[in-house]
Amino acid sequence: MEDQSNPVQYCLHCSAPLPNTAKFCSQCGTAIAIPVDTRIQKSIYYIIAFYVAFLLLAIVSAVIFSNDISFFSEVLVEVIFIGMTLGFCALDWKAIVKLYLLSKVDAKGVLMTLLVPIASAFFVYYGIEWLNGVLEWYDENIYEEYIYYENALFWAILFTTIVPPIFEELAFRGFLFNEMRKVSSVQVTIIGTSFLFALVHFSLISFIWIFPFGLFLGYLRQRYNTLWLCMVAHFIHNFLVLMLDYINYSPEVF
Amino acid sequence: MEEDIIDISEQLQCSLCTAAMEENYIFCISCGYPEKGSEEEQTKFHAHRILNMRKSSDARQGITSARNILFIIAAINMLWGIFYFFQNSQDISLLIYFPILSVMYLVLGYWSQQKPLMALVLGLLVYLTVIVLGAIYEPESIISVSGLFLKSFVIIYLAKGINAALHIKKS
Repeated sequence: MEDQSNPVQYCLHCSAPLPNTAKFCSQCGTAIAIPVDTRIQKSIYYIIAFYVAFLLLAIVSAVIFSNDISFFSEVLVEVIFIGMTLGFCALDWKAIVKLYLLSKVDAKGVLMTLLVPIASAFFVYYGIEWLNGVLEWYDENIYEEYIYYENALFWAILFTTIVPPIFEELAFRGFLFNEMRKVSSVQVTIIGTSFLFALVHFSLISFIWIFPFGLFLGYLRQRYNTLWLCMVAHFIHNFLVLMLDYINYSPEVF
Repeated sequence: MEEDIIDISEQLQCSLCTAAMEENYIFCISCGYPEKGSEEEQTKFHAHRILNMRKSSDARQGITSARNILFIIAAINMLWGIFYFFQNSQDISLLIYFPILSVMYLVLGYWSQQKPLMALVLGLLVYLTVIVLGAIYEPESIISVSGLFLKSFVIIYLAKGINAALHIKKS
């Protein structure tokens, strides 16, 4: 009697009142809980579509850069990337806007956000330098790619330390994280987003260090439920690596 | 008094899964068995149940096939890397790229035993990434017919595995 007087759900087929524990309708036998499943399927398709869009962007940018390497093509690729990210976020913008609200952050969070990227930037920078030395590979300089533009330092800072932290965090710790969280546990979500975040940089060597950094960013996103800390940490990391390259490239400035 | 209670609970049980039932239930809300249905309906239900069981074992088979594909790609990448290293001027980068890829597939393959859905999705995306990188750096690699056939074979099996994992997550 208690179940009948307090029905928590209704059968979608015959609208009979049912207790919330029911897996089947007691009157028509229709299986319940189908709405949840299509949501899982939708999220999985979103995740695949999101990543495939990044793969297509890689092909498009390879085509653009093979035709001409110029400031215009650089801006064009960035604009496509930003547009794509915003497009995906529009699919689930209500949940994403919440990530920009100021949330409670403790001292531990702030300290981690500031210190971990400093440590990782130096570790990665000198780690790669050492690895390139051992393997006799050409040591790529990020700053060097921008020296042909006017105001090289400004564009280098904009394209490597401002745009990526804002929009990569929005894409991977925002949209992708939310979609994965709908189909899997917290741990799986953090591992999954970091894996794809590292993979999308299209370099198997840098996968080794981007993956753990992604785990750290994923942890920040989960623990404090905001994108601000992730953006700051990502910015500090990218900025330090760029500055080390800048100092390395033009030591006479200092 | 005690006998009475036992009597009532026996009356209100589903005869298939023994879940508690209410007086007015026609179907069991836990397993869907038509407790008060006709004999024909009950037979039909049993037939459906067996069919569903076979479906879910098909799904498990689909996941296992996809997992084996991941293991096979892992092995091929490892052998490929070592083979090319000795063939092509002992370029050390071959001994880094291919083993890293191989380890990725291997780890995802093992992970698909616990988390089939996510592991297979990531496996498919790694595979697609490698194809795209190949197409960008060696455009001729994408044109070969046998390669195309092999690639679509792998993609189809991984996609089938993902679909099967979705079905298991449903039930």
